[in-house]
This record gives sequence, C-alpha cells and structure tokens, in this order.
Amino acid sequence: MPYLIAFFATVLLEFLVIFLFIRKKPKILFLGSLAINSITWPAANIVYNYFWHNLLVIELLVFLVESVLLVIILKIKLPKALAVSFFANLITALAGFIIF
Amino acid sequence: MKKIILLAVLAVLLPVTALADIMIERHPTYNYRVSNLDEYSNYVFFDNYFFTTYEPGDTYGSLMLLKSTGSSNNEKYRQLYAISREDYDKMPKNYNQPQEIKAYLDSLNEQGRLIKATNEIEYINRDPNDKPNEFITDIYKITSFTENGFTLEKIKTERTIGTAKDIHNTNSGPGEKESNPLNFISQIGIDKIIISGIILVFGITLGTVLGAVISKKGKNDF
Repeated sequence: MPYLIAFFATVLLEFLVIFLFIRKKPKILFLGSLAINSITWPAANIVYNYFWHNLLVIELLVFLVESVLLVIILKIKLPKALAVSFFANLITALAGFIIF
Repeated sequence: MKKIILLAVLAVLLPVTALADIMIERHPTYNYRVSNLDEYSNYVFFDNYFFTTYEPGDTYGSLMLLKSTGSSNNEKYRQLYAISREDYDKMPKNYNQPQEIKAYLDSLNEQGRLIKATNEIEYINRDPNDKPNEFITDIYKITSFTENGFTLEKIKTERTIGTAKDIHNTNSGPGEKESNPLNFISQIGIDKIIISGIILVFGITLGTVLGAVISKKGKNDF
C-alpha cells in the first residue's frame, strides 16, 4: 500500500523536522504531526489527484494550513510555526520527488 | 496518553487505508485516435480489441468488445482494420453476440475484404513520467489507403489533465469532459467522489479531535 507508506513517511519526516526545531516532548510532537497530517494529507491528495494537478500551489496551501495548525495544536508562535511548516513541507516534497 | 495514542491510530489508519484503497489502482488513461477518418467515409474502422463504429466526424464511436479475454491494460498494440460501408451494413448488429460479428469479420477476411493496417498502433507507450491523472491520446493519421492495406503515422500526443476512468463509457473526447461538470463526475466515478468526501470529513474530524486533545494536554511550553 504505497499511499499508506507515503502517509506515514510524511508524518515521520514532519515529526523529525518539528522535533529539530522544538526538541521537547517527542510523543506530543509526533501525535501533533499525526493530527495535522490526518487533516492535510488526505485533502491535499484528493485535490491533487482529482481536481487540481498543481503541486506547487497545493504545497503552498498545505504549508499555510499546517502553520496555523501548529499554532493551534502545539501553541507555538506563528513565525516559528511558519518556519517549521516550511521546512517540514520542503523536506517531504523533496523526499516525494526523489522517491516518485 | 494511551487514549490519545488510540485516538491517533484511529484518526490515521481508517481514512488513510480507505484513501490508499481508492488511489492504489490509479494509472494514466491511454487512448489513441485517427485524425483523418473523415477522408475515408466509405469505410468503417475498428481495431483488434474493440469493434468501434467510427463514423466520419466521430472521435469515439460506440464500442463492442471483440476479445473475451485479456485486459486493455495489458494490450500493448492495436491492429486497425477497415471494412467497406456496404459490408458494414450487412454485418450483424447484435453487440451482445460478439461471436456473430467476429464470424462475419472472419468470413470477410477469408474473402480478402478485410483491410488491415500495415503497421500496428502502439496503444500503451508507458512512460514512467506519465501522471496518474493524465489522459494521454496518441493522434495518428492514415497516410496511404488502398484495398490491400493502409498505413498509419503517429503525428502527435495530446496530454490532458483530469482522467477519464473509462473513455469508452462516455462517448466523447477529453476536452468536452473537462468542460462539463457531470462528465467530470463520470470521469472520477461517483463512488470515488463519495468515498473521498467521507475520508475527507473523517480525516478532518478526527484530526481536529486529536489536535484539540493534544492542545488541551499541552502546557504551552514549546
């Protein structure tokens, strides 16, 4: 099931990036990554596969939404959330390009 | 913490498993078209896989499966044939009985009245860079036509984003499908739209619940 693997790879990579920035409470950060991606990942994949085949714009929207979710869920400040989300999505996008 | 983990596993596994199930079978849609059939209005064309009543002006005609085995996904080449319109008019038209049509075509072949393309169409030229939601149509042109055979030349490949799950069900070209919302639904399949909607709502709901639990548990010390 490549999509299931891709999802968990995304959760794991984004967790690692979040942890690099925050370096506290890895379990909470991992669950935060799970929660965020369970919202954004299916939505992004459905939009990309069925409605709008524009990876750059979808990634940009995911980056913005995840920044807001990081602020809400992990209660970090917006500038830090933007940085975390940017690098997390950059890494996952690059990994996606390399793998697929 | 255990409740959170359980909720997290549920939040993730259920929608993603269902999503994977939907998407796992996705692949590019391949098709071909012969662009200048209008010039040969005295003939009806079809290929070795489907009997296709290509009428002049039609891009896609009604189709009937001639082969009882095999999958179009594995069919790498298509052999095109033509018969005269007079022979076509005499052909049995019961598409539920393909063996009758096949027997008629075999008899035409024995009489030397089945006109074959001298070269095959490479029906599925799979490219690793083809996207799952691409609709890829190879456009061919008949460059010479005699009663002994006709020659095809590939002139270009058209790529359209937005797949047709099965072009043969819609009886229209990709451009028309994209401009009509109802055709777009038929491309994806209503079942996939409904399941995608359920997954989306499910993922967002459970992600939100999980996020809310984490947010409340968090001590805001990040």
